[in-house]
Amino acid sequence: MASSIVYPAEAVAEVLPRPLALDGVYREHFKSVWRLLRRLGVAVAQLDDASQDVFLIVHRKLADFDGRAPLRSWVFAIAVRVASDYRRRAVRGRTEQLDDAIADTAPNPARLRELRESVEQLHEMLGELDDKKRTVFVLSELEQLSAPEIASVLGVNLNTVYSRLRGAKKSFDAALSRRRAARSPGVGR
Amino acid sequence: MRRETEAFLDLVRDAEDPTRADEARVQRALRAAIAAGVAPSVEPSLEIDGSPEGTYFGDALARLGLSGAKLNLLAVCAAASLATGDTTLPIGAHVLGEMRTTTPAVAAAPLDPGAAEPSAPEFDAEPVAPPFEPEAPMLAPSTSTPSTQPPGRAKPRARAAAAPAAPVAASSLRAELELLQRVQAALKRGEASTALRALDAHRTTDTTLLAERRAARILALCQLGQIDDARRAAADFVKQHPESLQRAAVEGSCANR
Repeated sequence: MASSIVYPAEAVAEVLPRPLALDGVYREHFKSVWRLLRRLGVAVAQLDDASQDVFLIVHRKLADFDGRAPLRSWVFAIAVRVASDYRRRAVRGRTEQLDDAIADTAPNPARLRELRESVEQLHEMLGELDDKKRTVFVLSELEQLSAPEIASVLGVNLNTVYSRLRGAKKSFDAALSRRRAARSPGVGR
Repeated sequence: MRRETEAFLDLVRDAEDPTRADEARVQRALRAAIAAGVAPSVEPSLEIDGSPEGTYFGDALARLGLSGAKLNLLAVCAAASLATGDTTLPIGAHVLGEMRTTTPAVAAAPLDPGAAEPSAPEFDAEPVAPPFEPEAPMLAPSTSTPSTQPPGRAKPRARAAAAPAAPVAASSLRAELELLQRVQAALKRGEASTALRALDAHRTTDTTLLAERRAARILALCQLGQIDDARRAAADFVKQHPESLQRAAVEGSCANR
């Protein structure tokens, strides 16, 4: 049928891709963004706000995403910066709701207690790392990103990632050993 | 790294996953914030910890940070989407990638290699997060106005006992995507009545791409010269999908003239 209205192809092309983007990106990455923010030092009480900020930025910047880096790296790069911002503003003392955060993830009370203590220890030990090492350590050892992907997230070179990771692992090892030794003074390492 | 440390990390790695309630709550807040044009509260800096890291992203965030107070996100995004013709995201690939993680056999064939194939593999690396509750998808019609649905700031609640997540209806999503691609292709050919017939024939309860279907219908009505129908549909669209980026396409259509 002939139409008197010429519809611009570009506008037609707008139908479909972008709105699905936020929905899909959110579904795909919310969980890891949430975890990442927490492990990068965002207080439990701030996680909602921080997660929302990450995806608000994602929403705003999706049009600029050029696909050069994997989408996950791009989203994580935003999360790392948001976490950094929240950390700067944060009031210290962020373990107040730890129990809530891990409630019911363990099958029995003893296991739950162990898990709570371990998560508490995790955050203490992460807090002892400097922010750069902490970020690399969390991305590598907890989110299990490859070193090249971490380099992409942080915009640093690969050697820097390896160097920070080595330092972070060493510090984390030592911190854990100290804690284990303190808890079990009679047991040798 | 010591074995003891590795065991410790294995123990805690998944101990702080968000619950589905967390995911849904933040999603609602996000949707409300977008609809209300709320800007992010953070001003992400150019630098991480004083060093110029992440430069590929820095400029954009710097502009974002400097932009400060409230912006009309819709206007910004709409302008950006209209101004950048070739920045279309490989979202089809994203969806295909997502489906590939859940239903490998079904999703193997690309729907539209030209438009949807790049960068799919990267999505295979990660497990798919549980989907939203069906009644509250990001793109579903909103029954409340933004002002009555302020961004949720409730503290995260305790993890619910591991209720199995309803699996994403990959076949449904795939059908949706295929429909929209057929509709889009028909519209580009100027075959608006074909597009409308395809939309009419499509029966689904999946609301994931509801806004896209409705926007496509409005464009088809415009092509057919059914301006009054398009206007009515567009008025409904704006009410029901105030946050949809398709709003720009709808408002740029005949329905707004």
